[in-house]
Amino acid sequence: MDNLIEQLKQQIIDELNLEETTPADIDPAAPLFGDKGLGLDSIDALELVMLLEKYYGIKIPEPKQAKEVFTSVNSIAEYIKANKK
Amino acid sequence: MKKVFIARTSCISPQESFRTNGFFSSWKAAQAETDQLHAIEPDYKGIITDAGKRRRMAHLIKMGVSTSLDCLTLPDGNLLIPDAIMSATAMGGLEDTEKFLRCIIDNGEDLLNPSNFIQSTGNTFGGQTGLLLGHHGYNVTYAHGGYSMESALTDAMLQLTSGDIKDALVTGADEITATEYEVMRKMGFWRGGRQMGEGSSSFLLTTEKEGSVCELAAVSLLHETTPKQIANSIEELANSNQLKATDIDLVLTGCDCDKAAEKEISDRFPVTDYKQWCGQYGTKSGFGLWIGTQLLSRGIAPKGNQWEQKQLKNIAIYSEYRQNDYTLMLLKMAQIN
Repeated sequence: MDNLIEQLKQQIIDELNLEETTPADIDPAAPLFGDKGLGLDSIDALELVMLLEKYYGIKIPEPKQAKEVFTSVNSIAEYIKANKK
Repeated sequence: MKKVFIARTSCISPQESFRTNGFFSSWKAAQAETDQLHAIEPDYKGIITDAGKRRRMAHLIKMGVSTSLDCLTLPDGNLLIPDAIMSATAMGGLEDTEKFLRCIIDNGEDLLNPSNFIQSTGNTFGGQTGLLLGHHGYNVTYAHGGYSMESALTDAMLQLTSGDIKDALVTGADEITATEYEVMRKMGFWRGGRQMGEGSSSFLLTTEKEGSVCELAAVSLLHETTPKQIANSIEELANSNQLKATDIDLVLTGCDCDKAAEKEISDRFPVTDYKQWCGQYGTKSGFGLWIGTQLLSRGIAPKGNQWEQKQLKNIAIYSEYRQNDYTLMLLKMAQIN
C-alpha cells in the first residue's frame, strides 16, 4: 500500500504538472481539493479520472462516486486496491 | 483624428530584452549554422505569481502573459487595466496542440487531456491576461498568419482614433516547437537562410501623448507586391504622414529571402535587418516594432554592426512572412508631432 501511495503521489505531480511540489510535500490523508491540501480544481478532477484509467485501467462509472474517491491520496489508493483487475 | 502613441512596451526575445537596460551591447546576430533562435526566458515565478495558473501554462502562454503584465506594471507596482486587449499569434499554442494531437494518436482518441485542449487555442494568452487582470472588456485575438500583429494593432488604432477606447494592450507572440520546425523544414520553409525564431512583444497604445515613448503613425498591409512597389510603399507611407522619403531615418527590415526587395529598400533608405536578432515567426514584426520604440526612446541608432548615441525621428518597419504577407509600420518620435 505504501508503494502504491508513493507511486500515486508522483503520478499526480507529473500529470497535473505540480511544478513546485515533491512527493514529500503531499500528505496522503490531506484533502486534494479546496483551500486545504493541494488545492486542486475541477479540471484536475478530470485529469485524475484519466490518470486512474491510464495507469490502472479503472473507470469511475458514477460521477458522485468520484467525489468520494478523490478525497485524498489515501482514498484513491484504497479505491485502486479494491478495483484493480 | 486622434493620434496613437505607444506608452509602454515589453519584450521577450532571443536577445536580452526583458526588463533590462543596455541590452544592445550583448545582442548577437544569428549565425548561419544556427537553425533556431530560442527566447531568453525570465523566471516566470516572479511575474505570474499564481502557481495554480502558471502550472498549466505552456511556453507561449507564459511569454505572452509575462510581457503583457510587465507592459501594464506601473512604476508603483500596480497594474494598469486597459480598456481593451488585442492579441496576435500566427500559430497559437502549438506545444499544447501537439501534446493533444499526440494524445489522440497514442490513446486511440480516448483519455484526452483537457488542459492541453483548453490551452491550445490561439486566444489563451489574451484570455489568461484578462483573467489575471480581472479585465471584463474587449478581448480579441487575431490569428492571421504574417498579418496577425498588424491586424491587432490596426484594431487598436481604429478604436483609439475613433474615441471608443482610451488605451489598449496589444501583444503578439509565437513559439518554436520541434515538430513545427521539422514540418516546415520539409516544406522547404527555411531554405532562404532565415532561422526560426520566437518571442512575445507587448505594447500599451494610448491617445495620450504625455509620457509616451513614440507615435505609432501608421500600419499598412501589402499583398502580392513587387520589390519596387515595396520601396514605393514606404515612400507613400511617409508622404501620407506629412513626411518626405528623406525624413525616414531608418527602415528596420524583416526581409525573408527576397534579396530583390532588400536591395530596392536599401538603395533608397538607410536599413538595418531586425530579423538577424529574432529570427522568423508569424508575429516577428512585434519585435521590429519594439526595437523601433527602443531606438527612438533611448536615442540610439545602428552604425554598421555597432550602436551609437543618435536621436532618430522617424523609423519605418518592413516585414515579410513566407514571401506572401508584407507589412509596413511607421513610428515617429513623440516630441516632434
